[in-house]
Order: sequence, then C-alpha cells, then structure tokens
Amino acid sequence: MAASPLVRREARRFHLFALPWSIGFVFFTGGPIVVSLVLSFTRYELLSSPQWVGLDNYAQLLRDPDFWMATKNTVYFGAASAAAGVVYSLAAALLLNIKVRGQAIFRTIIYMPSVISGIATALLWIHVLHPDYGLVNYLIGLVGIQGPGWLTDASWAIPGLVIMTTWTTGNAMIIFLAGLQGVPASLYEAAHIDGAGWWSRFRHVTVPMMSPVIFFNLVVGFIGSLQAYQLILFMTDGGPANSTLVLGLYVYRYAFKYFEMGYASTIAWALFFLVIVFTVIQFALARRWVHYEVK
Amino acid sequence: MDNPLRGLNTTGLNRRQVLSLAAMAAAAVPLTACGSGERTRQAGPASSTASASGNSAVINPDRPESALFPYAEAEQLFDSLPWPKTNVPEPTSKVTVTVAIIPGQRHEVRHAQFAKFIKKRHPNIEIKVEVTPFDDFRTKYLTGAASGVLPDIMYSQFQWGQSFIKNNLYLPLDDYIAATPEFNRADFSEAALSYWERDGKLYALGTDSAPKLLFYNKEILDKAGAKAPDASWTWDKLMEAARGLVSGTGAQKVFGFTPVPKPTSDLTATFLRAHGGRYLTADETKCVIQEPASRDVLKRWIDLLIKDKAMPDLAETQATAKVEPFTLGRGALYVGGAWNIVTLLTLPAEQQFEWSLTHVPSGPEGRFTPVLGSAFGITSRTRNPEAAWIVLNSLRSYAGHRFFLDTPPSRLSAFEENLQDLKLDKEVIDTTKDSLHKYGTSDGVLRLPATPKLEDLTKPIWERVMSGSLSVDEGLKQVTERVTPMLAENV
Repeated sequence: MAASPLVRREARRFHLFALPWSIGFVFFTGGPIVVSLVLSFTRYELLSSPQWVGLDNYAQLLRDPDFWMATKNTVYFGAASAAAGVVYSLAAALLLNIKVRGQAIFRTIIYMPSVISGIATALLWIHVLHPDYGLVNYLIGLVGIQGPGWLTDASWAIPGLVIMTTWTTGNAMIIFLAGLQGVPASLYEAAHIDGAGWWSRFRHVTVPMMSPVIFFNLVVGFIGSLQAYQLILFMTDGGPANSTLVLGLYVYRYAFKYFEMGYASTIAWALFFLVIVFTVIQFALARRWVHYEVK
Repeated sequence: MDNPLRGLNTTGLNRRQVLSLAAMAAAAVPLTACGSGERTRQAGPASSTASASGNSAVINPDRPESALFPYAEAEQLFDSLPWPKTNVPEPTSKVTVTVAIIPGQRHEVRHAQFAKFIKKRHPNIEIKVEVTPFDDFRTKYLTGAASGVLPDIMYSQFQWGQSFIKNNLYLPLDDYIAATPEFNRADFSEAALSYWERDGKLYALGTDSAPKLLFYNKEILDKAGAKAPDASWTWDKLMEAARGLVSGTGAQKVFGFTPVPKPTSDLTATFLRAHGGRYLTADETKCVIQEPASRDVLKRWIDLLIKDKAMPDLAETQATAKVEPFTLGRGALYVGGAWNIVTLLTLPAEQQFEWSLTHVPSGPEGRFTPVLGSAFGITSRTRNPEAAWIVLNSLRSYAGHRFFLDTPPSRLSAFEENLQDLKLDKEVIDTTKDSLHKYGTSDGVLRLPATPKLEDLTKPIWERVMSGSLSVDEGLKQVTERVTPMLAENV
C-alpha cells in the first residue's frame, strides 16, 4: 500500500533534518574510521605513500611491551575513574536533590568544574595534588598522614588522576538529578511507612529505580575514560615510569610525535576493540542488576 | 542488545528534560576543549625564546611596535644596517613570501617590523608571517606537507632539521649561496650549520647558536661561604661543591646542581664526552652507553641525586612545576644554554638574584659543550624560491641578526654586538664566545629521525633509575635494549 502524502512529507522532513548529521558523520567520522582501518595495515609516515604491510603492525602490537603497559593502565584508569565518577556524581545528585534554600546555587557550584577548560583543570590539580603544598596532602596531613607524591609516585599517579577526573563529572550528576526527580514519591512514602530508614530507602528504592541511569552513566563514563589522554598528556605525559601511559596517549605519540600513522591506527583499533569488549561485558552484567520499569 | 537509553525513558524524564541534557552535554564539549593547544614546552633554545617573550599583543601591521621595540627606533635601526645584496633576480611583479615562525611577542613584533621595512628595499616582496606554537609547529607543518602545502620559509629547531631534510621539506641553498658573492659561510659557526647539512648541501641558515655554560647563583654561594666556579673547575670539583651547597627542605630546598643527566639529545656532549663516554656513536646507529666511561660517570651523578640529594628528584621536579630551579633562585650551580641569559635578565624584579656564568667544567678527556640552536630554510613547496632567498638572505644576514637581536646569534660577526646590547659584563661575553669557538660542538647531539622515540622509550627507565628502584647498570642495560632496535631508523 502506498504511503500517504503526510507520511511521505514526514519522511522527507526526517531525512532533511538528519542530513547535516549524516553528512558530518560520513565525511568527518565514518570516512576517517574506514581510512584508519586501512592504514592500520600499512606503514605510513605521513610524508611518504602508505606501504601495505598486512598484519605486521598487529604482530608488532602484540610484541610491544609499552602497548601492554598502556592497556593495563587504560583499564585501571577507566574502571577506577568510571566507578569513582558514578559514586561521586550520584552522591552529589542525592544531596542536590534535597530541597534547601540556595539549591540552584549549590547545583551550579557542583556543575561548574565540568565547563572549565581542560587545561585550566589540569593546572589547578597539579597544585591541588602537589606533594609539598597541595590541598589534598594538607587535608590528609591534618589527620597525621604523610600524603604521597600524587603525580610523581608511580603507585599513586593514576589514583591522583582519578581524583581529578571525578571532580569534573557534572554532566553525570545532572543526569542523576533528572533521574532522581523521576522516582515516584509514593515509593519512598510506602517504604517510610514500612519503617525503612534512609539507607534502606536508598538501597531498596533509589538504587533499583535509578539502575538504568547508573548503568548509562557507567557505560558512557567508562568509554570516555578509556579514551582519555589530553589531561594525562598535560599533567604527567605518561610518567612517572610509564605509570600513566594510556592507549589514547600512545596513539597520540605515534601519530603526532613520531608521525607513524599506520602503527598509530593499529593502536587506535586496539583501543576500539577494548572499548567494545568492556561495553559488551557491562551489558552482559547489566542483566543482573539493572531494572527497567517497562519491559 | 539492550538500549542503554531505555532506562531514561522509564525514570520520568520528559522530552524537554532529555533535550536540555543533550544541549548541556553538547555545550560542555567545546567548553572543555578550550585551550587544547597548550602543553608543556620542550626544554631548549626554542622554548626560551618563546617563554621569554611574554604575552602576545595585537600587532598593528601599519605601525608594528611594542614597549621593547618602538616603531621609530626599529625603523632607524633597520635603515642604519648594511643589508645584503644578491645576484638572485628581484621579482618583477608582486609576490608574497610566507614565513612560518614560533610565537613570542619579541619575534612577532620584530618580524612584523621587518616585513614592513623590507618593502623599502624590495618593493615587490610582501611578507606574510604565520605564527604557530612551538609544541604544535612540527605537527602542523608536517601535516601540511603531506597535503602539499607549506610556507615559503619555515623555522626549524636543531632536532628537526635532519628529519625535514630527509623528507624533502627544505630546498638546498647552495645554488642561491653561489649566486650571492658576499655571502660568507664561514661567518656561521660550524656547529650552527651542522644540524642542517646533509650530503654536502646546506638547507637552512641559523638564527641563534648557543653553547651550554655553567651558571651560578652568587647569593647561594656567598651564603654557603663557597668560592665561585671558574675555568679551572673539573666535573669532580663541581660534584663535590654541589654536595656542600644543598640546604633546606620542601619548597625552600636549594639544590647543589641542576639538571640531572638523562638519556636525552645532548647527554653525550654535556656530560659524557669529557669523561671519554658517549650515549650513541657519532652516526647514531649504535648505543654505547653501557661502556665503562659512560656508566661510571652516570653512576656518580645518580649517587649525587639519591645519596646526596643534591639534585631535584622526580617529586621535586614536579614541585617546581617543571620550571628550572636555578631560575627560581633555588639552584646553586646549573649547566644550561646561553639562551638562559635573556631569561635571567628578564626575570620579574621580585625574582631577580645575583648570578654569573663561567665555562663548563673539564674532565679527563677535555672540555666539551653542546652548541644548540634554530634556523630558517626555504621549503620545497615554495612558489617563489628566488624571492624567498632574498628574504632569507636578509633575515639571516649580519644585519638580520642585529635587527632581530638573536642571542647568541649564529653569525659570529654579530656575536659580540648582540651580547653587548644586553649590557653584559665583558667576562660573560668573552666566556660565551670562547665556549662557542674553542670547545663548542654538535658532535654527540642527537638529531636523526629516531630521536623523539628514543627519549620517550628511555624516560620511564631512567625515572626508575632516578627513583632508586632500578640500578644504574640495569637501567643502562634496559636503555640499550630498548634503544638499539630503534636506531635502524637512523640508517
């Protein structure tokens, strides 16, 4: 049966509105994705033509100790910063959901770090995490603990970066806040009548009702953290002793420092594979703890 | 696969809320991306010229000037200088020559003034200056070269020269030099040109050419009752003195000596050759850092760092935010490039201290210091090579060096005058000149294509050595193992 003029008009409008994004995707995302896949099978040093090397780059990748070090660091940083980001942003959202005077101001203050330039954030945190006069070590020192060299000790560098990235999770907090406002008040009232305290209400009402939002923020946060490199480049450049060398930074080095675009593309595809693997694992685990109101 | 967004639809978010979230997320991306071009500057001559310049201001192209370089004075200086001639023909119609430089108000204003005044001598040549941050310079122009676009004249730091030449980014200058009878190649120090020579051809002309010198903080030495170093000092004596000059802790700590020797581009020339050691062979195809001469001296330096705590460790380097402790007044002795003279002279009043400099110490095999610098060359993509030579020849002539006040200049004829302009003591000028002439060298300064990769590969190993978690012997073994396969890229 032929579509009605109204349906055809709607379809035309749909395609028209989607066109800028489609064009952008094809030329600025889809095209480079395909090209990088092809380049990953070549030796390409930017100023000479790419030479087909088959699977050599992938074989080199498997033998490259720095790649494995970067993979380990990437997973560590990704998991820690995604988990810390979700915990912090959910806690902040719970606090900011309490109706108190000046609520909008508090929300603005907590969200503000998310719109600060990445480099300004890095400069600020270099000082906050400073081993001698940094705020973090000062606060730890108040309870008699000698703080570590956050960005200079190989064991503490990634935790230091995780603390910094947690500070900028305002976007996740906003999503949590919106989600919290959608939890029916009647559920809390029912739990309250049943004698549930704040912890029980949180555990048995908030968490299950928010589980799809927690899952969304966890997946998006983890993918973002796996791709992180800009602040790490500025703050530690992969050091000390390669303890913060992550795959994003490794791609950057090969692409824009050594200009070996073929191998850089291979590392980028390895990173993509890693993202896919961990996302699939998260979706598989989600069946056990994410509860959807509508099936 | 489950839709991760499905949960949002069931938690009470309406369409307006979803759109608001999307808009906020979209707004956050460009805001967060601001400032992505800024990164830590690489140590070396280029970084000092850029950082010493201060903030960039808007330059009026009709009357370019700054507080440091007033327009009238600049024009008077330009008119008084003996600008060079060449037999290379002038363009018969208007041409534009693009010059790619690194930033810094000192550079930008001077280039803008040069571009304006040179029209008096070459009315058909219009100069367009492109300014690119040092850290992004290579990326921008190599990417441009890959797509066939380059400026006519392009800056190069000493480590980039051979890579630019190997990839045919620069034109050889020999034919143009031959057509310029008054061009005196001997006026450039040998070291200044060596980074841009290949197979007997010359590809770029130097701007600055700086030897490394031993700087010392007179106030720290006086307080410790120590004698100022002089030309008689050996490296042994320096190490002994450094041990006695350490004082304080934390943010107030004063270091006896900086910097810590590391496997970087000038390790050989600065710290190893005086003891008969090397990091790589002269042709940069073999790693010899494990040999006894290098190993023994590096062990002594690491002892000075770990046992005597006379040099900044990793945490202390972080604590000074990567700024050289000597320029913060927290280093007693410092081996650094002559470009630091300008940095020290232009310190804010509240940070200034009494300093001086002398020759780097000598060792059992003699006295050596690396000579480092930058240059400009004509690119292979230029559409106006003859006009570009006319500009380059002026830019890098004696008059050009005087006009741009390069410190220290690559041209020996401008050396003393440029340093005298800084109102330096005669002793300082003579020491700088002698170090360049008598023992300055480019031998041992890494410059071949594998260099950036070598520095990244060895850095984590050496950081473990510096932290004491790896012995010097094991560190040097690992350095050799990691570096050796990469050296094939230098063949």
